[in-house]
Amino acid sequence: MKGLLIKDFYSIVSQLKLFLIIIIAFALVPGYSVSAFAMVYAALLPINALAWDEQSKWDNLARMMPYSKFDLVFSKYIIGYISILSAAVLCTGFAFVYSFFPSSEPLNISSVVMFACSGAGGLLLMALNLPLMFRLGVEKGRLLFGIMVGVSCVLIAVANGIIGDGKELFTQIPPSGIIAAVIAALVLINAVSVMLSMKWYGKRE
Amino acid sequence: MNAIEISGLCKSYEGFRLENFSLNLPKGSILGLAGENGAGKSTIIKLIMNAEERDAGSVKVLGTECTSPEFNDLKNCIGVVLDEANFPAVLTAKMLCSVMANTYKNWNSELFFNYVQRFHLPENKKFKDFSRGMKMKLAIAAALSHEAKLLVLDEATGGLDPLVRDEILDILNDFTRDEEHSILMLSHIVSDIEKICDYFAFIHKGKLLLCDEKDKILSEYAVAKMSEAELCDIAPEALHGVKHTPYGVEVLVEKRLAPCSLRYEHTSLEDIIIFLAREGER
Repeated sequence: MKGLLIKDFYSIVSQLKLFLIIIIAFALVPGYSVSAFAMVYAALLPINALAWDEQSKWDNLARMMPYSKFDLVFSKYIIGYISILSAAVLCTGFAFVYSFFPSSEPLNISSVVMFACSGAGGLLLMALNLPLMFRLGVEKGRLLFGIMVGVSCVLIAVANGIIGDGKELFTQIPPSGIIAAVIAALVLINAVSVMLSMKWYGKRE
Repeated sequence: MNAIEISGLCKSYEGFRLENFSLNLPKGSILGLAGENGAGKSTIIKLIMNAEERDAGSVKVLGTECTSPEFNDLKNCIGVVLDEANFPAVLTAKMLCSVMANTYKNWNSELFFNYVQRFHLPENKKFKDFSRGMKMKLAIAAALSHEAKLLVLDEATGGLDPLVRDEILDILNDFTRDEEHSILMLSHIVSDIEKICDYFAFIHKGKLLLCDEKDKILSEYAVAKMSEAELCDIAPEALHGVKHTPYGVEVLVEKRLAPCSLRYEHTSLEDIIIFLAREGER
């Protein structure tokens, strides 16, 4: 699987310089709801990697190589995990730096939980979208992802209007409880997602 | 021992059916499989490499059934070149080497760069900027750099200029000097196959119409020209194809069954398969 990851890394770095700048720019903007967009953009990276595979017909060749179906499918998930985790770390890192600025909010555990939840949102989007990509192809899959991102943005904005940036909510619930529940849900959703992707891989409509 | 053994292979798609396809590729030899576009050649590669599920039949590669769990590991010994090379557009030869080194157990970077130099390929130019000839040479360099015992080539010489084609055919000939090495070469360019193959097979609309040693085919079949009246003297079992022209009749005959008095034209594999394909359509 390492070869597949290296291949995707080369493609992402070569073709996505602008995309990476956007992710960093979103992470740089203070505020949790804007940082959430960095996670959403990060969740798009494996989909772009799939699109380039499709464009170069790499997939046809990769299936002739000593890779299992699991390697071919799961490598895209790993790209997503790495990119979303990187975005989350960037957001938290920048928030930490901002916390030293005059009149800035200090970085506390509820802020970190907020970033983690944004990252979880990115992982959820990816987990929902990748099986559809493997089934429908990237063109149709991207359209669907666009709709999902649009709906997510509206929901984030609405939630922001109702509960502010959500920090109050997270101060009322023990952070460890939230983190445990989110991790459990994500593991389950990702496991189902990987299984569906494996089932649909190579059976594109 | 055979490098590839295919028996009773069947696969159906909408509008296409591969029917009861069987052939053997003896170790140390080159088998050329010709067929028109859409005849089923690429489907056969996918089935051989277990990249598609078959409907029926069996495929053994280097003694291992291709649907067995061990086959994935055996792919380390199989070099595949597809008709468009299919490498990601942004990769350079150097990057490709790094990807392949983490893909194939026996990858030999030094050998790969030897081929890159021998083929005059740039190391830092992106794949998307390569010409068709350069792309195919890079794909062949990669296929030859992981101690493959079997090469599977799909239209590897298609669209190349004669000089590059000749160069690639020489490399393939060198590869089979080792009697453990074998090549399955699929192409619709019969002249390329004819130049280097030991065995020749012809597939038409999903059916295998011919499979034998190339020299045997060329010695057993021939094209003859005659009048309509002379055609009646030839036994039906000797006839494998008839073409009516304004000047008479052209026939493909099996020499041992045809009259000794018959005078034959110079006959190539291409002539033979054209007759067989027409006959198959009738």
